[in-house]
Amino acid sequence: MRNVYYKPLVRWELVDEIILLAEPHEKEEVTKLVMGSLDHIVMETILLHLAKEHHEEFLELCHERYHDETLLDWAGEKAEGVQEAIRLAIRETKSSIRKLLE
Amino acid sequence: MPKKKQKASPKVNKLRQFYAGLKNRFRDTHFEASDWLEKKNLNVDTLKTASKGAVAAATLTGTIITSKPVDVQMAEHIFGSGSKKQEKLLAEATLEEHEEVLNKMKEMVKLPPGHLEAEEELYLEQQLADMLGFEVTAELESHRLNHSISIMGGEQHLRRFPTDSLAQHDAFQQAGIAPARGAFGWFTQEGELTQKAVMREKYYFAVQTLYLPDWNTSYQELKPWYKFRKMIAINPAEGMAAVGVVGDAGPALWVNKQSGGSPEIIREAKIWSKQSRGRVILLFVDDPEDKVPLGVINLNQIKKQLAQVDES
Repeated sequence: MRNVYYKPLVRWELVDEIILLAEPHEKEEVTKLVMGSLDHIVMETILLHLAKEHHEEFLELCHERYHDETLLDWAGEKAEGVQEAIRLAIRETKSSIRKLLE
Repeated sequence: MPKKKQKASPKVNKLRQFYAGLKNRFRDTHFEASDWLEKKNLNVDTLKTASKGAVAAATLTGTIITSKPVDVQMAEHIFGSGSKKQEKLLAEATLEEHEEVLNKMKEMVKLPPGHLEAEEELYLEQQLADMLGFEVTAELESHRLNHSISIMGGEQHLRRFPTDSLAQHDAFQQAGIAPARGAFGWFTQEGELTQKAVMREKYYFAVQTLYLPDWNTSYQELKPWYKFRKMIAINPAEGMAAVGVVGDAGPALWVNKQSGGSPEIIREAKIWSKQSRGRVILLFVDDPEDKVPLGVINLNQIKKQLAQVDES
Protein backbone atom coordinates (compact mmCIF):
# COMPACT_ATOMS: atom_id res chain seq x y z
CA MET A 1 0.00 0.00 0.00
CA ARG A 2 2.96 2.29 0.60
CA ASN A 3 4.58 1.40 -2.62
CA VAL A 4 3.81 4.70 -4.23
CA TYR A 5 5.81 7.03 -6.43
CA TYR A 6 5.91 9.74 -3.76
CA LYS A 7 7.23 7.34 -1.14
CA PRO A 8 10.56 9.14 -0.54
CA LEU A 9 8.74 12.33 0.39
CA VAL A 10 6.76 10.82 3.24
CA ARG A 11 7.99 10.31 6.76
CA TRP A 12 6.30 6.99 7.20
CA GLU A 13 7.12 6.70 10.87
CA LEU A 14 4.80 9.69 11.42
CA VAL A 15 2.09 8.01 9.37
CA ASP A 16 2.45 4.98 11.60
CA GLU A 17 2.08 7.16 14.66
CA ILE A 18 -1.16 8.55 13.27
CA ILE A 19 -2.53 5.10 12.52
CA LEU A 20 -1.65 4.03 16.04
CA LEU A 21 -4.07 6.66 17.31
CA ALA A 22 -6.96 4.59 15.92
CA GLU A 23 -8.69 1.81 17.82
CA PRO A 24 -7.40 -1.63 16.81
CA HIS A 25 -10.60 -2.55 14.96
CA GLU A 26 -10.45 0.73 13.03
CA LYS A 27 -6.82 0.59 12.00
CA GLU A 28 -7.47 -1.01 8.64
CA GLU A 29 -9.99 1.61 7.63
CA VAL A 30 -7.88 4.45 9.00
CA THR A 31 -4.88 3.18 7.05
CA LYS A 32 -6.92 3.21 3.84
CA LEU A 33 -8.31 6.66 4.56
CA VAL A 34 -4.86 8.06 5.32
CA MET A 35 -3.34 6.56 2.19
CA GLY A 36 -6.30 7.68 0.10
CA SER A 37 -5.90 11.19 1.46
CA LEU A 38 -2.21 11.22 0.64
CA ASP A 39 -2.86 9.87 -2.87
CA HIS A 40 -5.34 12.69 -3.49
CA ILE A 41 -3.32 15.49 -2.00
CA VAL A 42 -0.17 14.49 -3.88
CA MET A 43 -2.01 14.18 -7.17
CA GLU A 44 -3.71 17.50 -6.60
CA THR A 45 -0.43 19.22 -5.78
CA ILE A 46 1.36 17.83 -8.81
CA LEU A 47 -1.43 18.78 -11.19
CA LEU A 48 -1.54 22.27 -9.70
CA HIS A 49 2.14 22.74 -10.44
CA LEU A 50 2.30 21.02 -13.80
CA ALA A 51 1.39 22.87 -16.96
CA LYS A 52 -1.92 21.61 -18.36
CA GLU A 53 -0.21 20.17 -21.38
CA HIS A 54 1.55 17.65 -19.13
CA HIS A 55 -1.48 16.54 -17.13
CA GLU A 56 -2.51 13.69 -19.35
CA GLU A 57 1.03 12.43 -19.65
CA PHE A 58 1.38 12.41 -15.90
CA LEU A 59 -1.87 10.51 -15.44
CA GLU A 60 -0.70 8.01 -18.05
CA LEU A 61 2.58 7.59 -16.21
CA CYS A 62 0.73 7.02 -12.95
CA HIS A 63 -1.44 4.48 -14.65
CA GLU A 64 1.70 2.81 -15.96
CA ARG A 65 3.84 2.84 -12.86
CA TYR A 66 2.25 4.21 -9.74
CA HIS A 67 5.02 2.67 -7.66
CA ASP A 68 7.86 4.18 -9.68
CA GLU A 69 9.74 6.85 -7.74
CA THR A 70 11.27 8.21 -10.94
CA LEU A 71 7.88 9.85 -11.58
CA LEU A 72 9.01 12.40 -9.01
CA ASP A 73 12.07 13.16 -11.11
CA TRP A 74 9.84 13.50 -14.14
CA ALA A 75 7.52 15.90 -12.32
CA GLY A 76 10.51 17.81 -10.94
CA GLU A 77 11.84 18.36 -14.43
CA LYS A 78 8.52 19.69 -15.63
CA ALA A 79 7.66 21.81 -12.59
CA GLU A 80 10.38 23.32 -10.50
CA GLY A 81 9.83 23.06 -6.76
CA VAL A 82 7.04 20.52 -7.05
CA GLN A 83 8.73 18.04 -4.75
CA GLU A 84 8.95 20.58 -1.95
CA ALA A 85 5.31 21.48 -2.54
CA ILE A 86 4.36 17.81 -2.28
CA ARG A 87 6.36 17.41 0.89
CA LEU A 88 4.60 20.39 2.41
CA ALA A 89 1.16 19.21 1.32
CA ILE A 90 1.81 15.79 2.81
CA ARG A 91 2.98 17.32 6.05
CA GLU A 92 -0.11 19.52 6.32
CA THR A 93 -2.42 16.63 5.49
CA LYS A 94 -0.83 14.41 8.11
CA SER A 95 -1.11 17.18 10.63
CA SER A 96 -4.81 17.70 9.84
CA ILE A 97 -5.50 13.98 10.13
CA ARG A 98 -3.62 13.75 13.39
CA LYS A 99 -5.77 16.52 14.87
CA LEU A 100 -8.91 14.64 13.84
CA LEU A 101 -7.79 11.45 15.52
CA GLU A 102 -6.25 12.85 18.68
CA MET B 1 -13.24 3.26 -0.86
CA PRO B 2 -13.49 1.87 2.68
CA LYS B 3 -16.47 -0.25 3.57
CA LYS B 4 -18.74 1.53 6.00
CA LYS B 5 -18.65 0.00 9.42
CA GLN B 6 -21.60 0.31 11.71
CA LYS B 7 -19.78 1.33 14.86
CA ALA B 8 -17.23 3.81 13.68
CA SER B 9 -15.99 6.20 16.31
CA PRO B 10 -16.65 9.94 15.92
CA LYS B 11 -12.96 10.37 15.14
CA VAL B 12 -13.09 7.96 12.23
CA ASN B 13 -16.28 9.60 11.03
CA LYS B 14 -14.43 12.90 10.96
CA LEU B 15 -11.63 11.28 8.99
CA ARG B 16 -14.15 9.89 6.52
CA GLN B 17 -15.55 13.37 6.04
CA PHE B 18 -12.07 14.81 5.64
CA TYR B 19 -11.26 12.23 3.00
CA ALA B 20 -14.56 12.79 1.18
CA GLY B 21 -13.77 16.50 1.19
CA LEU B 22 -10.41 15.89 -0.44
CA LYS B 23 -12.04 13.76 -3.12
CA ASN B 24 -14.65 16.40 -3.84
CA ARG B 25 -12.06 19.13 -3.93
CA PHE B 26 -9.98 17.14 -6.38
CA ARG B 27 -12.97 16.62 -8.62
CA ASP B 28 -13.81 20.32 -8.50
CA THR B 29 -10.32 21.68 -9.03
CA HIS B 30 -9.18 19.07 -11.54
CA PHE B 31 -12.26 18.39 -13.53
CA GLU B 32 -10.40 17.45 -16.71
CA ALA B 33 -8.10 15.03 -14.94
CA SER B 34 -11.07 13.44 -13.16
CA ASP B 35 -12.86 13.19 -16.47
CA TRP B 36 -9.80 11.56 -18.07
CA LEU B 37 -9.66 9.02 -15.27
CA GLU B 38 -13.38 8.32 -15.43
CA LYS B 39 -13.15 7.58 -19.13
CA LYS B 40 -10.71 4.85 -18.26
CA ASN B 41 -12.90 3.63 -15.41
CA LEU B 42 -10.34 4.89 -12.94
CA ASN B 43 -10.12 7.34 -10.10
CA VAL B 44 -7.29 8.46 -7.86
CA ASP B 45 -7.99 5.57 -5.49
CA THR B 46 -7.95 2.87 -8.11
CA LEU B 47 -5.03 4.29 -10.08
CA LYS B 48 -2.58 2.61 -7.74
CA THR B 49 -4.07 -0.86 -7.91
CA ALA B 50 -4.79 -0.60 -11.63
CA SER B 51 -1.24 0.45 -12.43
CA LYS B 52 -0.17 -1.54 -15.48
CA GLY B 53 3.24 -2.26 -13.97
CA ALA B 54 1.65 -4.02 -11.06
CA VAL B 55 -0.73 -5.96 -13.29
CA ALA B 56 2.05 -6.97 -15.64
CA ALA B 57 4.21 -8.26 -12.82
CA ALA B 58 1.30 -10.30 -11.58
CA THR B 59 0.71 -11.99 -14.90
CA LEU B 60 4.33 -12.78 -15.50
CA THR B 61 5.56 -14.37 -12.35
CA GLY B 62 5.38 -18.06 -11.74
CA THR B 63 5.56 -19.16 -8.15
CA ILE B 64 6.01 -15.61 -6.91
CA ILE B 65 2.75 -14.43 -8.39
CA THR B 66 1.89 -11.13 -6.75
CA SER B 67 0.91 -7.64 -7.72
CA LYS B 68 3.75 -6.32 -5.61
CA PRO B 69 6.73 -4.81 -7.39
CA VAL B 70 9.95 -6.70 -7.73
CA ASP B 71 11.76 -4.88 -4.93
CA VAL B 72 9.03 -5.68 -2.45
CA GLN B 73 9.09 -9.29 -3.56
CA MET B 74 12.81 -9.36 -2.94
CA ALA B 75 12.45 -7.95 0.55
CA GLU B 76 9.74 -10.48 1.29
CA HIS B 77 11.97 -13.19 -0.01
CA ILE B 78 14.67 -12.14 2.42
CA PHE B 79 12.25 -12.10 5.34
CA GLY B 80 10.36 -15.10 4.00
CA SER B 81 9.65 -16.83 7.27
CA GLY B 82 10.89 -17.19 10.79
CA SER B 83 10.33 -15.56 14.12
CA LYS B 84 10.71 -11.84 14.76
CA LYS B 85 13.95 -12.47 16.59
CA GLN B 86 15.32 -14.50 13.69
CA GLU B 87 14.22 -11.81 11.26
CA LYS B 88 15.97 -9.16 13.32
CA LEU B 89 19.19 -11.14 13.51
CA LEU B 90 19.01 -11.78 9.80
CA ALA B 91 18.32 -8.11 9.15
CA GLU B 92 21.27 -6.98 11.24
CA ALA B 93 23.64 -9.17 9.30
CA THR B 94 22.00 -8.47 6.00
CA LEU B 95 21.80 -4.69 6.37
CA GLU B 96 25.49 -4.50 7.08
CA GLU B 97 26.30 -6.78 4.15
CA HIS B 98 23.88 -4.92 1.93
CA GLU B 99 25.64 -1.61 2.53
CA GLU B 100 29.04 -3.18 2.10
CA VAL B 101 28.10 -4.79 -1.20
CA LEU B 102 26.54 -1.59 -2.51
CA ASN B 103 29.67 0.36 -1.60
CA LYS B 104 31.91 -2.21 -3.22
CA MET B 105 29.84 -2.17 -6.39
CA LYS B 106 30.11 1.61 -6.54
CA GLU B 107 33.86 1.18 -6.75
CA MET B 108 33.67 -1.75 -9.16
CA VAL B 109 31.76 0.17 -11.80
CA LYS B 110 34.49 2.79 -11.86
CA LEU B 111 36.90 0.18 -13.20
CA PRO B 112 37.54 0.04 -16.93
CA PRO B 113 34.91 -2.02 -18.82
CA GLY B 114 35.63 -5.72 -18.61
CA HIS B 115 35.42 -8.36 -15.92
CA LEU B 116 36.27 -8.47 -12.26
CA GLU B 117 39.00 -10.69 -10.87
CA ALA B 118 37.66 -14.24 -10.47
CA GLU B 119 37.59 -14.10 -6.68
CA GLU B 120 35.89 -10.73 -6.60
CA GLU B 121 33.39 -11.86 -9.19
CA LEU B 122 32.47 -14.91 -7.14
CA TYR B 123 32.06 -12.77 -4.03
CA LEU B 124 29.79 -10.38 -5.89
CA GLU B 125 27.67 -13.15 -7.39
CA GLN B 126 27.14 -14.71 -3.98
CA GLN B 127 26.35 -11.44 -2.26
CA LEU B 128 23.94 -10.38 -4.97
CA ALA B 129 22.20 -13.75 -4.89
CA ASP B 130 21.66 -13.29 -1.14
CA MET B 131 20.47 -9.75 -1.62
CA LEU B 132 18.14 -10.39 -4.53
CA GLY B 133 16.92 -13.86 -3.75
CA PHE B 134 17.86 -15.32 -7.12
CA GLU B 135 21.07 -16.48 -8.75
CA VAL B 136 23.13 -14.10 -10.85
CA THR B 137 26.37 -14.91 -12.61
CA ALA B 138 28.87 -13.46 -15.05
CA GLU B 139 29.16 -16.82 -16.78
CA LEU B 140 26.22 -19.09 -17.45
CA GLU B 141 26.37 -22.49 -19.11
CA SER B 142 29.92 -21.63 -20.30
CA HIS B 143 28.69 -18.43 -21.92
CA ARG B 144 30.27 -15.15 -20.97
CA LEU B 145 29.97 -11.73 -22.54
CA ASN B 146 33.03 -9.61 -23.12
CA HIS B 147 32.06 -7.26 -20.31
CA SER B 148 30.24 -7.55 -17.03
CA ILE B 149 31.38 -4.07 -16.04
CA SER B 150 30.16 -1.76 -18.75
CA ILE B 151 28.92 1.62 -19.76
CA MET B 152 25.32 1.17 -20.78
CA GLY B 153 23.91 3.43 -23.47
CA GLY B 154 20.30 4.30 -24.02
CA GLU B 155 18.58 2.45 -26.84
CA GLN B 156 15.41 3.19 -28.72
CA HIS B 157 12.26 1.15 -28.55
CA LEU B 158 12.29 -1.95 -30.70
CA ARG B 159 9.56 -3.03 -33.05
CA ARG B 160 7.82 -6.03 -31.54
CA PHE B 161 6.12 -7.14 -34.74
CA PRO B 162 6.38 -6.04 -38.39
CA THR B 163 3.65 -3.38 -38.29
CA ASP B 164 4.54 -2.06 -34.85
CA SER B 165 4.95 1.71 -34.49
CA LEU B 166 6.17 4.10 -31.84
CA ALA B 167 2.61 5.20 -31.10
CA GLN B 168 1.80 1.68 -29.96
CA HIS B 169 4.44 1.81 -27.21
CA ASP B 170 2.89 3.15 -24.07
CA ALA B 171 5.85 4.84 -22.41
CA PHE B 172 8.92 6.94 -23.19
CA GLN B 173 7.98 7.61 -26.78
CA GLN B 174 10.51 10.44 -26.83
CA ALA B 175 13.19 7.73 -27.08
CA GLY B 176 12.05 6.89 -30.61
CA ILE B 177 11.91 3.49 -32.26
CA ALA B 178 14.63 1.66 -34.16
CA PRO B 179 13.87 1.35 -37.88
CA ALA B 180 14.92 -2.29 -38.07
CA ARG B 181 13.85 -5.17 -35.87
CA GLY B 182 16.10 -6.28 -33.04
CA ALA B 183 18.96 -8.64 -33.79
CA PHE B 184 17.12 -11.50 -32.12
CA GLY B 185 13.90 -11.16 -34.07
CA TRP B 186 10.37 -10.11 -33.27
CA PHE B 187 9.14 -10.15 -29.70
CA THR B 188 5.76 -11.65 -30.50
CA GLN B 189 5.12 -15.25 -29.55
CA GLU B 190 3.61 -17.30 -32.36
CA GLY B 191 2.37 -14.07 -33.86
CA GLU B 192 0.70 -12.91 -30.65
CA LEU B 193 1.68 -9.77 -28.78
CA THR B 194 1.48 -11.42 -25.39
CA GLN B 195 2.02 -9.66 -22.10
CA LYS B 196 5.35 -11.44 -21.93
CA ALA B 197 6.33 -10.02 -25.31
CA VAL B 198 5.36 -6.52 -24.21
CA MET B 199 7.44 -6.82 -21.06
CA ARG B 200 10.42 -8.22 -22.94
CA GLU B 201 10.55 -5.19 -25.19
CA LYS B 202 10.03 -2.83 -22.28
CA TYR B 203 12.95 -4.33 -20.42
CA TYR B 204 15.49 -5.37 -23.02
CA PHE B 205 19.26 -5.14 -23.15
CA ALA B 206 21.54 -4.82 -26.14
CA VAL B 207 24.73 -6.83 -25.64
CA GLN B 208 27.79 -7.14 -27.81
CA THR B 209 27.30 -10.71 -28.96
CA LEU B 210 28.69 -9.71 -32.35
CA TYR B 211 32.12 -9.17 -30.78
CA LEU B 212 32.24 -12.49 -28.94
CA PRO B 213 35.41 -14.34 -29.96
CA ASP B 214 33.44 -17.36 -31.20
CA TRP B 215 30.43 -15.53 -32.65
CA ASN B 216 31.42 -15.87 -36.28
CA THR B 217 32.06 -19.58 -36.02
CA SER B 218 29.31 -20.52 -33.56
CA TYR B 219 26.54 -17.97 -34.05
CA GLN B 220 24.06 -20.70 -34.98
CA GLU B 221 24.30 -22.10 -31.46
CA LEU B 222 24.98 -18.81 -29.73
CA LYS B 223 22.13 -16.80 -31.16
CA PRO B 224 19.30 -18.95 -29.80
CA TRP B 225 21.07 -19.17 -26.46
CA TYR B 226 21.31 -15.40 -26.11
CA LYS B 227 17.86 -14.64 -27.52
CA PHE B 228 15.75 -13.22 -24.67
CA ARG B 229 18.31 -14.46 -22.15
CA LYS B 230 17.47 -12.93 -18.79
CA MET B 231 20.03 -10.52 -17.37
CA ILE B 232 20.25 -7.96 -14.61
CA ALA B 233 21.88 -4.54 -14.73
CA ILE B 234 22.96 -3.18 -11.38
CA ASN B 235 23.33 0.57 -11.07
CA PRO B 236 25.05 0.90 -7.70
CA ALA B 237 25.38 4.69 -7.78
CA GLU B 238 21.60 4.99 -7.59
CA GLY B 239 20.93 1.75 -5.76
CA MET B 240 18.80 0.51 -8.62
CA ALA B 241 18.73 -2.61 -10.74
CA ALA B 242 16.76 -3.77 -13.74
CA VAL B 243 15.95 -7.29 -14.81
CA GLY B 244 15.51 -7.61 -18.55
CA VAL B 245 16.23 -9.84 -21.50
CA VAL B 246 18.71 -9.75 -24.33
CA GLY B 247 16.71 -8.20 -27.15
CA ASP B 248 19.29 -6.68 -29.43
CA ALA B 249 22.98 -6.80 -30.35
CA GLY B 250 25.23 -3.83 -29.85
CA PRO B 251 26.37 -1.18 -29.38
CA ALA B 252 29.06 -0.84 -32.03
CA LEU B 253 32.65 -0.66 -30.77
CA TRP B 254 33.17 2.95 -31.78
CA VAL B 255 30.34 4.10 -29.54
CA ASN B 256 32.56 3.45 -26.51
CA LYS B 257 29.73 1.81 -24.67
CA GLN B 258 29.58 -1.90 -24.06
CA SER B 259 25.88 -2.48 -23.53
CA GLY B 260 22.54 -0.86 -24.15
CA GLY B 261 19.27 -0.62 -22.29
CA SER B 262 15.69 -0.04 -23.39
CA PRO B 263 14.13 3.35 -22.67
CA GLU B 264 12.35 1.85 -19.67
CA ILE B 265 15.54 0.38 -18.23
CA ILE B 266 17.57 3.53 -18.70
CA ARG B 267 14.99 5.83 -17.18
CA GLU B 268 13.44 3.70 -14.47
CA ALA B 269 16.77 2.38 -13.21
CA LYS B 270 18.27 5.91 -13.45
CA ILE B 271 21.18 4.59 -15.47
CA TRP B 272 22.06 7.95 -16.93
CA SER B 273 21.72 10.03 -13.81
CA LYS B 274 24.53 12.42 -12.91
CA GLN B 275 25.87 9.90 -10.41
CA SER B 276 25.60 6.84 -12.63
CA ARG B 277 26.61 8.02 -16.09
CA GLY B 278 25.80 4.63 -17.53
CA ARG B 279 28.12 2.61 -15.29
CA VAL B 280 26.55 -0.74 -14.57
CA ILE B 281 27.31 -4.32 -13.71
CA LEU B 282 25.54 -6.60 -16.16
CA LEU B 283 25.11 -10.24 -15.19
CA PHE B 284 23.10 -13.24 -16.31
CA VAL B 285 20.13 -14.27 -14.21
CA ASP B 286 20.12 -18.01 -13.71
CA ASP B 287 16.40 -18.55 -13.92
CA PRO B 288 15.63 -21.80 -15.75
CA GLU B 289 12.03 -21.82 -14.55
CA ASP B 290 11.41 -18.21 -15.56
CA LYS B 291 10.35 -17.11 -12.10
CA VAL B 292 12.17 -13.80 -11.83
CA PRO B 293 9.93 -11.02 -13.13
CA LEU B 294 11.21 -8.37 -15.48
CA GLY B 295 11.33 -4.84 -14.15
CA VAL B 296 13.16 -2.49 -11.88
CA ILE B 297 14.40 -3.33 -8.41
CA ASN B 298 15.08 -0.57 -5.92
CA LEU B 299 18.03 -1.83 -3.90
CA ASN B 300 17.72 1.11 -1.51
CA GLN B 301 14.19 -0.02 -0.81
CA ILE B 302 15.43 -3.42 0.28
CA LYS B 303 17.93 -1.59 2.46
CA LYS B 304 15.22 0.56 4.04
CA GLN B 305 13.14 -2.49 4.78
CA LEU B 306 16.10 -4.22 6.30
CA ALA B 307 16.66 -1.15 8.46
CA GLN B 308 13.01 -1.11 9.53
CA VAL B 309 13.22 -4.70 10.72
CA ASP B 310 16.46 -3.82 12.41
CA GLU B 311 14.77 -1.00 14.31
CA SER B 312 11.58 -2.90 15.16
